[in-house]
Amino acid sequence: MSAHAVSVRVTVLAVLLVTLAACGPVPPPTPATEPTPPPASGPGAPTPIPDAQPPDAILSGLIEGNVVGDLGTYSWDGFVSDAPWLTGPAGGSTTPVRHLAVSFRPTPGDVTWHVEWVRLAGGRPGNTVTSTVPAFGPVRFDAPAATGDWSVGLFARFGAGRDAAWFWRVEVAP
Amino acid sequence: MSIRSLPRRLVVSAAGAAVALLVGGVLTPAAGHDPDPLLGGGLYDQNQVLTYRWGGGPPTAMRTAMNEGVADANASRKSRAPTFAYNAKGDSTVYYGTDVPCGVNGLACMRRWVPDSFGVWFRENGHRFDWGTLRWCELSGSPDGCYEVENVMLDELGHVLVLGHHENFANESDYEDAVVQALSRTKPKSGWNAHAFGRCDVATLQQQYDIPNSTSPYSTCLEVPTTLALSASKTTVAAGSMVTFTATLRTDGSGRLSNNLVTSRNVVLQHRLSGTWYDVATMAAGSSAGTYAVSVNVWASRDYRALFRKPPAEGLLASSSAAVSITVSGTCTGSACPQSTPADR
Repeated sequence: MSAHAVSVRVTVLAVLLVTLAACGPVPPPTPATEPTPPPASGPGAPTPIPDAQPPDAILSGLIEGNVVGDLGTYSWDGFVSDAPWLTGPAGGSTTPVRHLAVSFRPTPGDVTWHVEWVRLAGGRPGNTVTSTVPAFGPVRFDAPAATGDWSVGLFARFGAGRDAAWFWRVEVAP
Repeated sequence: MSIRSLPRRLVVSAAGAAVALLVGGVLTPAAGHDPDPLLGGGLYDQNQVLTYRWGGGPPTAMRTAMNEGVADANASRKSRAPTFAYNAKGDSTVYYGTDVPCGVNGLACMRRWVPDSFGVWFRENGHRFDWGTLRWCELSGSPDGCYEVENVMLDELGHVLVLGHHENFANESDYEDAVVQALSRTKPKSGWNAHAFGRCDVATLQQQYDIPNSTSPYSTCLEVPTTLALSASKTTVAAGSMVTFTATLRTDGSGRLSNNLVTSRNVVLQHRLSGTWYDVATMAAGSSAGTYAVSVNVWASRDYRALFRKPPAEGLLASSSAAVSITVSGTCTGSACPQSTPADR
Protein backbone atom coordinates (compact mmCIF):
# COMPACT_ATOMS: atom_id res chain seq x y z
CA MET A 1 0.00 0.00 0.00
CA SER A 2 1.36 3.39 -0.92
CA ALA A 3 1.98 6.13 1.61
CA HIS A 4 -0.68 8.15 -0.12
CA ALA A 5 -3.22 5.38 0.26
CA VAL A 6 -2.35 4.99 3.93
CA SER A 7 -2.72 8.69 4.41
CA VAL A 8 -6.11 8.70 2.74
CA ARG A 9 -7.33 5.80 4.84
CA VAL A 10 -6.13 7.42 8.04
CA THR A 11 -7.84 10.64 7.05
CA VAL A 12 -11.08 8.84 6.23
CA LEU A 13 -10.94 6.98 9.52
CA ALA A 14 -10.38 10.21 11.41
CA VAL A 15 -13.29 11.89 9.66
CA LEU A 16 -15.47 8.91 10.37
CA LEU A 17 -14.59 8.93 14.06
CA VAL A 18 -15.23 12.66 14.35
CA THR A 19 -18.53 12.26 12.53
CA LEU A 20 -19.63 9.44 14.77
CA ALA A 21 -18.65 11.36 17.86
CA ALA A 22 -20.61 14.38 16.65
CA CYS A 23 -23.69 12.33 15.99
CA GLY A 24 -24.20 11.37 19.59
CA PRO A 25 -24.19 8.05 21.33
CA VAL A 26 -24.27 4.93 19.25
CA PRO A 27 -26.14 1.92 20.53
CA PRO A 28 -23.89 -0.96 21.35
CA PRO A 29 -23.39 -3.33 18.46
CA THR A 30 -25.38 -6.46 18.25
CA PRO A 31 -23.38 -9.24 19.85
CA ALA A 32 -21.75 -11.35 17.23
CA THR A 33 -23.32 -14.54 18.41
CA GLU A 34 -25.43 -17.13 16.67
CA PRO A 35 -27.95 -19.63 17.94
CA THR A 36 -26.52 -22.88 19.08
CA PRO A 37 -26.01 -25.06 16.03
CA PRO A 38 -27.70 -28.42 15.73
CA PRO A 39 -25.71 -31.12 17.44
CA ALA A 40 -23.35 -32.87 15.12
CA SER A 41 -23.80 -36.59 14.88
CA GLY A 42 -21.94 -39.23 13.02
CA PRO A 43 -18.59 -39.04 11.34
CA GLY A 44 -17.90 -35.99 9.28
CA ALA A 45 -20.78 -33.97 10.69
CA PRO A 46 -20.15 -30.30 9.94
CA THR A 47 -19.77 -27.63 12.55
CA PRO A 48 -22.28 -24.99 11.53
CA ILE A 49 -21.03 -22.02 13.50
CA PRO A 50 -20.33 -19.11 11.18
CA ASP A 51 -16.73 -17.96 11.33
CA ALA A 52 -17.61 -14.34 10.81
CA GLN A 53 -20.57 -12.09 10.25
CA PRO A 54 -21.35 -8.79 8.58
CA PRO A 55 -20.60 -5.65 10.55
CA ASP A 56 -23.20 -3.56 12.29
CA ALA A 57 -24.73 -0.92 10.05
CA ILE A 58 -25.49 2.35 11.80
CA LEU A 59 -27.92 4.84 10.31
CA SER A 60 -27.11 8.44 11.17
CA GLY A 61 -28.89 11.68 10.39
CA LEU A 62 -32.09 10.79 12.21
CA ILE A 63 -33.47 13.32 14.64
CA GLU A 64 -33.16 10.89 17.54
CA GLY A 65 -29.58 9.98 16.76
CA ASN A 66 -28.06 6.83 15.40
CA VAL A 67 -29.80 3.49 15.00
CA VAL A 68 -28.28 0.08 14.32
CA GLY A 69 -30.11 -1.67 11.48
CA ASP A 70 -31.71 -5.09 11.61
CA LEU A 71 -29.56 -7.55 9.72
CA GLY A 72 -31.50 -9.48 7.09
CA THR A 73 -30.17 -11.68 4.31
CA TYR A 74 -26.43 -11.97 4.16
CA SER A 75 -23.57 -13.95 2.66
CA TRP A 76 -20.33 -13.92 4.53
CA ASP A 77 -17.29 -16.10 4.01
CA GLY A 78 -19.15 -19.19 2.89
CA PHE A 79 -22.15 -18.82 5.19
CA VAL A 80 -25.48 -17.58 3.89
CA SER A 81 -28.60 -16.65 5.85
CA ASP A 82 -31.75 -15.89 3.84
CA ALA A 83 -34.25 -13.58 5.46
CA PRO A 84 -37.24 -11.54 4.27
CA TRP A 85 -37.66 -7.81 4.02
CA LEU A 86 -37.57 -6.56 7.60
CA THR A 87 -39.52 -3.55 8.74
CA GLY A 88 -36.59 -2.51 10.87
CA PRO A 89 -36.27 -1.20 14.40
CA ALA A 90 -38.62 1.61 15.34
CA GLY A 91 -37.59 4.92 16.80
CA GLY A 92 -36.11 6.91 13.97
CA SER A 93 -37.58 9.99 12.40
CA THR A 94 -36.45 12.58 9.95
CA THR A 95 -37.65 15.45 7.86
CA PRO A 96 -38.27 15.08 4.12
CA VAL A 97 -35.19 14.85 1.93
CA ARG A 98 -32.91 15.06 4.96
CA HIS A 99 -29.44 13.70 4.39
CA LEU A 100 -28.88 10.27 5.90
CA ALA A 101 -25.81 8.10 6.04
CA VAL A 102 -24.83 4.63 7.10
CA SER A 103 -21.51 3.63 8.60
CA PHE A 104 -20.28 0.17 9.40
CA ARG A 105 -18.64 -1.11 12.53
CA PRO A 106 -16.16 -2.62 12.10
CA THR A 107 -15.40 -1.06 8.76
CA PRO A 108 -15.44 -3.87 6.20
CA GLY A 109 -13.68 -2.09 3.34
CA ASP A 110 -14.95 -0.96 -0.03
CA VAL A 111 -18.69 -1.19 -0.49
CA THR A 112 -21.11 -1.11 -3.39
CA TRP A 113 -24.63 -0.40 -2.25
CA HIS A 114 -28.15 0.69 -3.02
CA VAL A 115 -31.14 1.48 -0.86
CA GLU A 116 -34.84 0.83 -1.26
CA TRP A 117 -37.68 2.60 0.48
CA VAL A 118 -41.01 0.91 1.18
CA ARG A 119 -43.91 2.89 2.58
CA LEU A 120 -45.46 1.37 5.69
CA ALA A 121 -49.17 1.25 6.32
CA GLY A 122 -50.24 0.29 9.80
CA GLY A 123 -46.74 -0.82 10.50
CA ARG A 124 -46.71 -3.15 7.51
CA PRO A 125 -45.09 -2.52 4.14
CA GLY A 126 -47.32 -0.97 1.54
CA ASN A 127 -46.89 -0.76 -2.19
CA THR A 128 -44.85 2.37 -2.73
CA VAL A 129 -41.28 1.43 -3.31
CA THR A 130 -38.38 3.40 -4.68
CA SER A 131 -34.93 2.14 -5.39
CA THR A 132 -31.61 3.80 -6.05
CA VAL A 133 -29.10 2.52 -8.54
CA PRO A 134 -25.94 0.92 -7.16
CA ALA A 135 -23.28 3.30 -5.92
CA PHE A 136 -19.72 2.77 -4.79
CA GLY A 137 -18.23 4.31 -1.68
CA PRO A 138 -19.71 6.07 1.32
CA VAL A 139 -23.35 5.25 1.98
CA ARG A 140 -25.16 8.56 1.79
CA PHE A 141 -28.72 9.11 0.63
CA ASP A 142 -31.73 11.28 1.27
CA ALA A 143 -34.99 10.59 3.02
CA PRO A 144 -38.07 10.47 0.81
CA ALA A 145 -39.84 13.71 0.03
CA ALA A 146 -43.18 12.24 1.04
CA THR A 147 -44.09 12.16 4.72
CA GLY A 148 -45.21 9.02 6.47
CA ASP A 149 -43.84 5.78 7.84
CA TRP A 150 -41.18 4.14 5.74
CA SER A 151 -38.95 1.11 5.86
CA VAL A 152 -35.55 1.52 4.26
CA GLY A 153 -33.37 -1.39 3.21
CA LEU A 154 -29.67 -1.07 2.52
CA PHE A 155 -28.20 -3.72 0.23
CA ALA A 156 -24.41 -3.73 0.30
CA ARG A 157 -21.62 -5.77 -1.22
CA PHE A 158 -18.13 -5.83 0.22
CA GLY A 159 -16.31 -7.92 -2.33
CA ALA A 160 -16.41 -11.56 -3.30
CA GLY A 161 -18.67 -13.62 -1.11
CA ARG A 162 -19.68 -10.78 1.19
CA ASP A 163 -23.02 -9.05 0.95
CA ALA A 164 -25.69 -8.10 3.43
CA ALA A 165 -28.97 -6.26 3.83
CA TRP A 166 -30.00 -4.07 6.78
CA PHE A 167 -33.32 -2.43 7.49
CA TRP A 168 -34.62 0.55 9.47
CA ARG A 169 -38.04 1.98 10.11
CA VAL A 170 -38.07 5.71 9.53
CA GLU A 171 -40.86 8.21 10.07
CA VAL A 172 -40.68 11.17 7.71
CA ALA A 173 -42.48 14.17 9.19
CA PRO A 174 -42.55 17.85 8.23
CA MET B 1 -50.39 -9.33 3.48
CA SER B 2 -47.00 -10.82 3.89
CA ILE B 3 -43.99 -8.65 3.48
CA ARG B 4 -42.55 -11.06 0.95
CA SER B 5 -45.64 -11.08 -1.22
CA LEU B 6 -45.38 -7.40 -1.87
CA PRO B 7 -43.98 -5.94 -5.05
CA ARG B 8 -40.69 -4.98 -3.52
CA ARG B 9 -39.75 -2.45 -6.09
CA LEU B 10 -41.71 -0.35 -8.45
CA VAL B 11 -40.07 1.31 -11.34
CA VAL B 12 -39.14 4.76 -10.29
CA SER B 13 -40.79 7.11 -12.70
CA ALA B 14 -38.50 9.67 -14.18
CA ALA B 15 -35.61 7.58 -13.05
CA GLY B 16 -33.03 10.28 -13.32
CA ALA B 17 -34.98 12.68 -11.14
CA ALA B 18 -35.72 10.00 -8.59
CA VAL B 19 -32.12 8.93 -8.45
CA ALA B 20 -31.04 12.50 -7.99
CA LEU B 21 -33.57 12.78 -5.21
CA LEU B 22 -32.61 9.65 -3.38
CA VAL B 23 -28.95 9.18 -3.86
CA GLY B 24 -26.09 11.24 -2.66
CA GLY B 25 -23.18 9.23 -3.91
CA VAL B 26 -21.26 8.48 -7.06
CA LEU B 27 -23.60 6.52 -9.28
CA THR B 28 -22.79 3.57 -11.42
CA PRO B 29 -24.99 1.85 -13.95
CA ALA B 30 -27.37 -0.70 -12.51
CA ALA B 31 -26.19 -4.25 -12.83
CA GLY B 32 -28.61 -6.80 -14.08
CA HIS B 33 -28.97 -9.80 -16.28
CA ASP B 34 -25.49 -10.77 -15.26
CA PRO B 35 -24.64 -14.24 -14.05
CA ASP B 36 -25.02 -14.67 -10.31
CA PRO B 37 -22.00 -13.48 -8.32
CA LEU B 38 -19.80 -15.99 -6.58
CA LEU B 39 -19.86 -16.84 -2.91
CA GLY B 40 -16.19 -17.69 -2.85
CA GLY B 41 -14.65 -20.52 -0.91
CA GLY B 42 -13.74 -22.68 -3.87
CA LEU B 43 -15.55 -25.28 -5.88
CA TYR B 44 -16.50 -28.87 -5.47
CA ASP B 45 -15.38 -31.28 -8.17
CA GLN B 46 -17.21 -31.40 -11.45
CA ASN B 47 -20.18 -33.79 -11.28
CA GLN B 48 -19.30 -34.64 -7.69
CA VAL B 49 -22.12 -36.29 -5.78
CA LEU B 50 -22.72 -34.59 -2.46
CA THR B 51 -24.59 -36.83 -0.07
CA TYR B 52 -26.81 -35.53 2.70
CA ARG B 53 -28.69 -36.89 5.66
CA TRP B 54 -31.44 -35.45 7.79
CA GLY B 55 -30.82 -33.44 10.89
CA GLY B 56 -33.41 -32.39 13.45
CA GLY B 57 -36.00 -34.87 12.26
CA PRO B 58 -37.92 -33.03 9.55
CA PRO B 59 -41.52 -34.25 9.15
CA THR B 60 -42.42 -36.30 6.13
CA ALA B 61 -43.92 -33.40 4.18
CA MET B 62 -40.78 -31.39 4.79
CA ARG B 63 -38.52 -34.23 3.67
CA THR B 64 -40.58 -34.71 0.54
CA ALA B 65 -40.36 -31.03 -0.34
CA MET B 66 -36.64 -30.90 0.40
CA ASN B 67 -36.04 -33.93 -1.79
CA GLU B 68 -38.04 -32.30 -4.56
CA GLY B 69 -35.79 -29.28 -4.27
CA VAL B 70 -32.82 -31.59 -4.60
CA ALA B 71 -34.31 -33.16 -7.72
CA ASP B 72 -34.92 -29.69 -9.13
CA ALA B 73 -31.29 -28.74 -8.57
CA ASN B 74 -30.00 -31.92 -10.15
CA ALA B 75 -32.29 -31.60 -13.16
CA SER B 76 -31.76 -27.91 -13.87
CA ARG B 77 -28.05 -27.35 -13.20
CA LYS B 78 -27.31 -27.64 -16.97
CA SER B 79 -23.65 -27.87 -16.15
CA ARG B 80 -21.11 -30.15 -14.55
CA ALA B 81 -21.93 -28.79 -11.13
CA PRO B 82 -22.24 -31.37 -8.36
CA THR B 83 -25.45 -33.27 -7.80
CA PHE B 84 -27.06 -34.10 -4.49
CA ALA B 85 -28.21 -37.47 -3.19
CA TYR B 86 -29.76 -38.59 0.05
CA ASN B 87 -27.77 -41.10 2.06
CA ALA B 88 -28.47 -42.01 5.67
CA LYS B 89 -24.74 -41.76 6.27
CA GLY B 90 -24.20 -38.75 4.07
CA ASP B 91 -21.41 -36.29 4.72
CA SER B 92 -23.71 -33.29 4.72
CA THR B 93 -26.74 -32.35 6.82
CA VAL B 94 -30.10 -30.92 5.86
CA TYR B 95 -31.68 -29.80 9.10
CA TYR B 96 -35.17 -28.69 10.09
CA GLY B 97 -36.09 -27.41 13.51
CA THR B 98 -35.65 -24.77 16.16
CA ASP B 99 -31.92 -24.95 16.65
CA VAL B 100 -30.54 -23.26 13.58
CA PRO B 101 -27.53 -20.98 13.05
CA CYS B 102 -29.46 -18.69 10.69
CA GLY B 103 -29.22 -15.55 12.82
CA VAL B 104 -32.13 -13.70 14.32
CA ASN B 105 -34.04 -13.18 11.10
CA GLY B 106 -33.05 -16.04 8.81
CA LEU B 107 -35.66 -18.39 7.40
CA ALA B 108 -33.03 -20.79 6.17
CA CYS B 109 -29.29 -20.77 5.93
CA MET B 110 -26.39 -22.63 4.43
CA ARG B 111 -22.73 -23.36 5.01
CA ARG B 112 -20.26 -24.73 2.47
CA TRP B 113 -17.40 -27.01 3.42
CA VAL B 114 -15.53 -27.52 0.17
CA PRO B 115 -14.50 -30.11 -0.91
CA ASP B 116 -16.61 -32.61 0.98
CA SER B 117 -19.82 -31.38 2.50
CA PHE B 118 -22.32 -28.65 3.31
CA GLY B 119 -25.06 -27.83 5.76
CA VAL B 120 -28.54 -26.47 5.11
CA TRP B 121 -30.89 -25.40 7.92
CA PHE B 122 -34.60 -24.60 7.79
CA ARG B 123 -36.30 -22.72 10.62
CA GLU B 124 -39.32 -24.46 12.12
CA ASN B 125 -42.79 -23.77 10.79
CA GLY B 126 -44.66 -21.26 12.94
CA HIS B 127 -41.54 -19.52 14.21
CA ARG B 128 -42.39 -16.01 15.38
CA PHE B 129 -40.14 -13.31 14.02
CA ASP B 130 -40.45 -9.60 14.67
CA TRP B 131 -41.85 -9.33 11.14
CA GLY B 132 -44.43 -12.09 11.49
CA THR B 133 -44.88 -15.83 11.65
CA LEU B 134 -42.99 -18.14 9.35
CA ARG B 135 -45.24 -20.37 7.27
CA TRP B 136 -43.82 -23.08 5.07
CA CYS B 137 -46.36 -23.78 2.32
CA GLU B 138 -45.95 -27.53 2.45
CA LEU B 139 -46.68 -27.61 6.17
CA SER B 140 -49.38 -25.01 6.54
CA GLY B 141 -51.97 -25.62 3.84
CA SER B 142 -50.25 -23.24 1.42
CA PRO B 143 -51.86 -19.95 2.43
CA ASP B 144 -50.90 -16.73 0.72
CA GLY B 145 -47.75 -15.39 2.29
CA CYS B 146 -46.15 -18.78 2.81
CA TYR B 147 -42.68 -19.75 1.65
CA GLU B 148 -42.29 -22.84 -0.46
CA VAL B 149 -39.78 -25.30 0.94
CA GLU B 150 -39.00 -26.77 -2.47
CA ASN B 151 -38.12 -23.35 -3.85
CA VAL B 152 -36.09 -22.31 -0.83
CA MET B 153 -34.26 -25.64 -0.88
CA LEU B 154 -33.31 -25.00 -4.50
CA ASP B 155 -32.10 -21.53 -3.48
CA GLU B 156 -29.96 -22.96 -0.68
CA LEU B 157 -28.49 -25.64 -2.92
CA GLY B 158 -27.57 -22.94 -5.39
CA HIS B 159 -25.59 -21.34 -2.60
CA VAL B 160 -23.97 -24.67 -1.84
CA LEU B 161 -22.81 -24.88 -5.44
CA VAL B 162 -21.18 -21.40 -5.13
CA LEU B 163 -23.94 -19.04 -6.23
CA GLY B 164 -24.31 -15.68 -4.54
CA HIS B 165 -27.48 -13.59 -4.55
CA HIS B 166 -28.47 -12.42 -8.00
CA GLU B 167 -28.42 -8.69 -8.66
CA ASN B 168 -31.73 -7.65 -10.19
CA PHE B 169 -32.70 -4.67 -12.24
CA ALA B 170 -34.19 -1.88 -10.16
CA ASN B 171 -37.69 -2.84 -11.28
CA GLU B 172 -36.98 -6.55 -10.77
CA SER B 173 -38.15 -7.35 -14.26
CA ASP B 174 -35.41 -9.97 -14.30
CA TYR B 175 -36.33 -11.54 -10.97
CA GLU B 176 -37.18 -14.89 -12.52
CA ASP B 177 -33.77 -15.10 -14.15
CA ALA B 178 -32.54 -16.47 -10.84
CA VAL B 179 -33.80 -18.56 -7.98
CA VAL B 180 -30.86 -17.54 -5.82
CA GLN B 181 -32.24 -14.22 -4.61
CA ALA B 182 -31.54 -12.01 -1.62
CA LEU B 183 -35.27 -11.89 -0.93
CA SER B 184 -37.30 -14.96 -1.77
CA ARG B 185 -40.90 -14.37 -2.68
CA THR B 186 -43.97 -15.71 -0.98
CA LYS B 187 -47.06 -17.15 -2.54
CA PRO B 188 -48.59 -15.92 -4.82
CA LYS B 189 -46.03 -13.51 -6.21
CA SER B 190 -44.35 -14.64 -9.42
CA GLY B 191 -41.32 -16.78 -8.80
CA TRP B 192 -42.44 -17.98 -5.36
CA ASN B 193 -42.61 -21.57 -6.60
CA ALA B 194 -39.86 -21.70 -9.21
CA HIS B 195 -38.61 -25.26 -9.47
CA ALA B 196 -35.60 -24.85 -11.72
CA PHE B 197 -32.49 -22.72 -11.59
CA GLY B 198 -32.92 -19.53 -13.57
CA ARG B 199 -30.80 -18.73 -16.58
CA CYS B 200 -28.46 -16.48 -14.58
CA ASP B 201 -28.03 -19.17 -11.93
CA VAL B 202 -27.17 -21.62 -14.69
CA ALA B 203 -24.80 -19.12 -16.28
CA THR B 204 -22.58 -19.03 -13.23
CA LEU B 205 -22.73 -22.78 -12.81
CA GLN B 206 -21.61 -23.16 -16.42
CA GLN B 207 -18.82 -20.64 -15.92
CA GLN B 208 -17.58 -22.39 -12.82
CA TYR B 209 -18.22 -26.06 -13.60
CA ASP B 210 -18.46 -26.08 -17.42
CA ILE B 211 -21.28 -27.28 -19.63
CA PRO B 212 -22.17 -30.98 -19.75
CA ASN B 213 -21.01 -31.64 -23.32
CA SER B 214 -20.36 -30.00 -26.66
CA THR B 215 -24.02 -30.08 -27.68
CA SER B 216 -25.31 -28.46 -24.48
CA PRO B 217 -26.80 -24.99 -24.85
CA TYR B 218 -25.09 -22.05 -23.18
CA SER B 219 -27.23 -19.97 -20.88
CA THR B 220 -28.70 -16.87 -22.46
CA CYS B 221 -27.47 -14.99 -19.39
CA LEU B 222 -23.99 -15.40 -20.89
CA GLU B 223 -22.32 -13.85 -23.90
CA VAL B 224 -19.62 -16.32 -24.75
CA PRO B 225 -17.40 -15.41 -27.71
CA THR B 226 -16.71 -18.11 -30.27
CA THR B 227 -14.04 -18.77 -32.84
CA LEU B 228 -14.29 -20.53 -36.16
CA ALA B 229 -11.41 -22.08 -38.07
CA LEU B 230 -11.83 -23.16 -41.69
CA SER B 231 -9.72 -25.44 -43.83
CA ALA B 232 -10.14 -26.74 -47.37
CA SER B 233 -9.18 -30.13 -48.78
CA LYS B 234 -7.53 -28.37 -51.73
CA THR B 235 -6.83 -24.74 -52.43
CA THR B 236 -5.78 -25.02 -56.08
CA VAL B 237 -8.11 -27.00 -58.31
CA ALA B 238 -9.43 -27.32 -61.82
CA ALA B 239 -12.80 -25.83 -62.61
CA GLY B 240 -15.65 -28.04 -61.48
CA SER B 241 -13.60 -29.88 -58.88
CA MET B 242 -15.06 -30.79 -55.54
CA VAL B 243 -13.54 -29.19 -52.48
CA THR B 244 -14.40 -30.20 -48.96
CA PHE B 245 -14.44 -27.44 -46.41
CA THR B 246 -14.13 -28.23 -42.71
CA ALA B 247 -14.85 -25.75 -39.95
CA THR B 248 -14.18 -26.06 -36.25
CA LEU B 249 -16.28 -24.07 -33.79
CA ARG B 250 -14.96 -23.36 -30.29
CA THR B 251 -15.81 -21.09 -27.42
CA ASP B 252 -13.49 -18.25 -26.64
CA GLY B 253 -14.74 -17.39 -23.19
CA SER B 254 -12.87 -17.36 -19.94
CA GLY B 255 -12.15 -20.13 -17.48
CA ARG B 256 -14.20 -23.24 -18.06
CA LEU B 257 -15.82 -21.70 -21.09
CA SER B 258 -12.65 -21.31 -23.09
CA ASN B 259 -11.72 -23.52 -26.00
CA ASN B 260 -14.77 -25.77 -25.71
CA LEU B 261 -15.73 -27.54 -28.89
CA VAL B 262 -19.26 -26.62 -29.92
CA THR B 263 -21.34 -29.22 -31.74
CA SER B 264 -24.78 -29.33 -33.36
CA ARG B 265 -25.01 -25.66 -34.22
CA ASN B 266 -25.81 -23.95 -37.49
CA VAL B 267 -22.61 -23.12 -39.39
CA VAL B 268 -22.71 -21.97 -43.00
CA LEU B 269 -20.11 -21.74 -45.73
CA GLN B 270 -19.93 -18.42 -47.51
CA HIS B 271 -18.06 -17.10 -50.49
CA ARG B 272 -17.25 -13.55 -51.47
CA LEU B 273 -18.46 -11.85 -54.61
CA SER B 274 -17.64 -8.21 -55.27
CA GLY B 275 -16.74 -7.70 -51.65
CA THR B 276 -19.94 -9.15 -50.22
CA TRP B 277 -20.30 -12.49 -48.48
CA TYR B 278 -23.08 -14.85 -49.59
CA ASP B 279 -24.22 -18.13 -48.08
CA VAL B 280 -23.20 -21.13 -50.15
CA ALA B 281 -24.35 -24.05 -48.04
CA THR B 282 -25.11 -25.13 -44.53
CA MET B 283 -22.29 -27.22 -43.16
CA ALA B 284 -23.20 -30.62 -41.79
CA ALA B 285 -21.85 -32.19 -38.64
CA GLY B 286 -18.25 -33.27 -39.14
CA SER B 287 -16.48 -36.39 -38.10
CA SER B 288 -15.57 -35.14 -34.65
CA ALA B 289 -17.00 -32.88 -32.01
CA GLY B 290 -17.11 -29.23 -32.93
CA THR B 291 -16.46 -29.81 -36.63
CA TYR B 292 -18.68 -29.03 -39.59
CA ALA B 293 -18.09 -30.01 -43.22
CA VAL B 294 -19.48 -29.47 -46.66
CA SER B 295 -18.26 -30.37 -50.15
CA VAL B 296 -18.92 -28.12 -53.09
CA ASN B 297 -17.91 -27.99 -56.74
CA VAL B 298 -15.98 -24.86 -57.45
CA TRP B 299 -16.00 -23.14 -60.84
CA ALA B 300 -14.16 -19.93 -60.21
CA SER B 301 -11.54 -18.59 -57.87
CA ARG B 302 -13.20 -17.36 -54.73
CA ASP B 303 -12.61 -16.57 -51.08
CA TYR B 304 -14.56 -18.77 -48.68
CA ARG B 305 -15.27 -18.50 -44.99
CA ALA B 306 -17.39 -20.22 -42.36
CA LEU B 307 -19.95 -18.22 -40.43
CA PHE B 308 -21.64 -18.92 -37.12
CA ARG B 309 -24.56 -16.63 -36.49
CA LYS B 310 -25.59 -15.86 -32.94
CA PRO B 311 -28.33 -18.31 -31.98
CA PRO B 312 -31.45 -16.59 -30.68
CA ALA B 313 -31.91 -18.91 -27.72
CA GLU B 314 -28.37 -19.39 -26.58
CA GLY B 315 -25.61 -17.33 -25.01
CA LEU B 316 -23.04 -17.82 -27.75
CA LEU B 317 -21.80 -14.92 -29.84
CA ALA B 318 -21.36 -14.98 -33.60
CA SER B 319 -18.01 -15.57 -35.28
CA SER B 320 -16.56 -16.06 -38.69
CA SER B 321 -13.42 -17.74 -39.84
CA ALA B 322 -10.55 -16.22 -41.73
CA ALA B 323 -11.00 -16.40 -45.48
CA VAL B 324 -9.65 -19.37 -47.37
CA SER B 325 -8.82 -18.64 -51.01
CA ILE B 326 -9.55 -21.30 -53.58
CA THR B 327 -7.74 -20.81 -56.88
CA VAL B 328 -9.45 -22.41 -59.86
CA SER B 329 -7.55 -23.08 -63.06
CA GLY B 330 -9.14 -23.57 -66.46
CA THR B 331 -12.04 -21.34 -65.65
CA CYS B 332 -15.21 -22.64 -67.12
CA THR B 333 -16.50 -20.97 -70.23
CA GLY B 334 -19.14 -21.82 -72.77
CA SER B 335 -22.12 -24.16 -72.68
CA ALA B 336 -20.44 -26.80 -70.52
CA CYS B 337 -20.53 -24.50 -67.56
CA PRO B 338 -23.43 -24.81 -65.11
CA GLN B 339 -25.90 -21.96 -65.37
CA SER B 340 -26.12 -21.80 -61.65
CA THR B 341 -24.43 -23.72 -58.93
CA PRO B 342 -24.40 -23.20 -55.23
CA ALA B 343 -20.74 -22.43 -55.42
CA ASP B 344 -20.76 -20.01 -58.28
CA ARG B 345 -23.74 -17.76 -58.18
